Amino acid sequence: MPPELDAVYEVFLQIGGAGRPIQLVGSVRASDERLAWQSAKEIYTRRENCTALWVVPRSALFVGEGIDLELLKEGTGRKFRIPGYPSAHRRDRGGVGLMEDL
Amino acid sequence: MAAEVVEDSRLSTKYELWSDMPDGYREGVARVAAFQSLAEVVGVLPFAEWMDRVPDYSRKQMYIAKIQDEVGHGHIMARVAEDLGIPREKILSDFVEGRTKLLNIFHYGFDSWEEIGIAALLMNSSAIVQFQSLDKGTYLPYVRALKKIEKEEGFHYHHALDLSHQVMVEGTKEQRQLVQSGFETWFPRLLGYFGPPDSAVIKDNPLYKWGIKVDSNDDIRQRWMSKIIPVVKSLGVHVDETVAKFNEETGRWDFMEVDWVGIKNLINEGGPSYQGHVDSIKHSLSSNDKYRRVALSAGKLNAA
Repeated sequence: MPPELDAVYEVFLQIGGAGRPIQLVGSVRASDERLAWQSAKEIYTRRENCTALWVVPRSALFVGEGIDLELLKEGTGRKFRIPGYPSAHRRDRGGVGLMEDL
Repeated sequence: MAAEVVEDSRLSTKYELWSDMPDGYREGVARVAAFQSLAEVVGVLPFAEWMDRVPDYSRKQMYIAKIQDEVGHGHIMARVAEDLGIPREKILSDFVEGRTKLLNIFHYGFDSWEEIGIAALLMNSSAIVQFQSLDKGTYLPYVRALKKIEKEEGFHYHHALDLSHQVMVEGTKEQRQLVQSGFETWFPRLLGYFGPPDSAVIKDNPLYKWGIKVDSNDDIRQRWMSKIIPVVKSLGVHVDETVAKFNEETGRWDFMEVDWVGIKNLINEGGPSYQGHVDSIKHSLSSNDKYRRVALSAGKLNAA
């Protein structure tokens, strides 16, 4: 877990327009959220097409405990969710009924 | 399952601030981040000195933007170091009190505007190539900071390239000669910037084993030369074969001898600009003290 430090805010930017992901770029030290936002603007958005800027007190982040990273890997392991699993016959249906057609 | 290359496992375990780290890892990366934070801030000073002598308005705008960027980089790196236990005040006071040393290139100033273009071209390209290596490393807050910094260094590089190009194309013969001699002065210093030859010993370097240092100094130096020598030549600067020449047989650059002993002495004893930088930082630590206190105590957390 991130160490608690009252004056640290994590900085998230959205680059290039609404609808895009808002991404962690670093942190700033400040004594409240408004000053944090202004610092983050000065330090992290100088040469970016920044369309959103969020600051979050570090103490508000919950990132999971060590073992949770292993649990996240389950997302890529379930082959039975791949269309056409398990046989080549099913996968080679000639493009009929693919997800994109829905 | 194909056999994994040994190198990949060195870099494949990544760490966040709150991860369990091997003994010594935290202190190692803290020192690297603190050192870079100092370099970003002190590196401003040779350029800031020329701010009032930039020859035209649009160059001055670009120049001021670069300087502001660098201070921002200092902030970004100081945050990484602070989270690992080195407060930013300590980064600066360690420098002012002589406990930390300065990179060789920051011991020198510039004698002419024409020199600044070519010197900045060499310095920015070196930084970019080095950061592109370090950003493959294992400590993620540092990697994220580097990615941000690299992108802005790209703008600085293009400014320096444009400036040098302008001098070479539109300048007088004397101005072009200043660019040539600027290259000959700064190229050996930048060869030294990457650090002493370490290919033989890199595998025993803890920073390398932990993936904080990704490539050897030698490899990064080679990569830099492959990038910058063609650029410098395209500007019309003469690069003598004894200075740098690509060896087709070895596939690597042969280059002039670097005076490593001289560089070590320079770093320990202080070059021409050193004392001025120490005084500048010392002065700003005390004159900006009230602003720091206001910035950190204003705001809701400390409202009485």
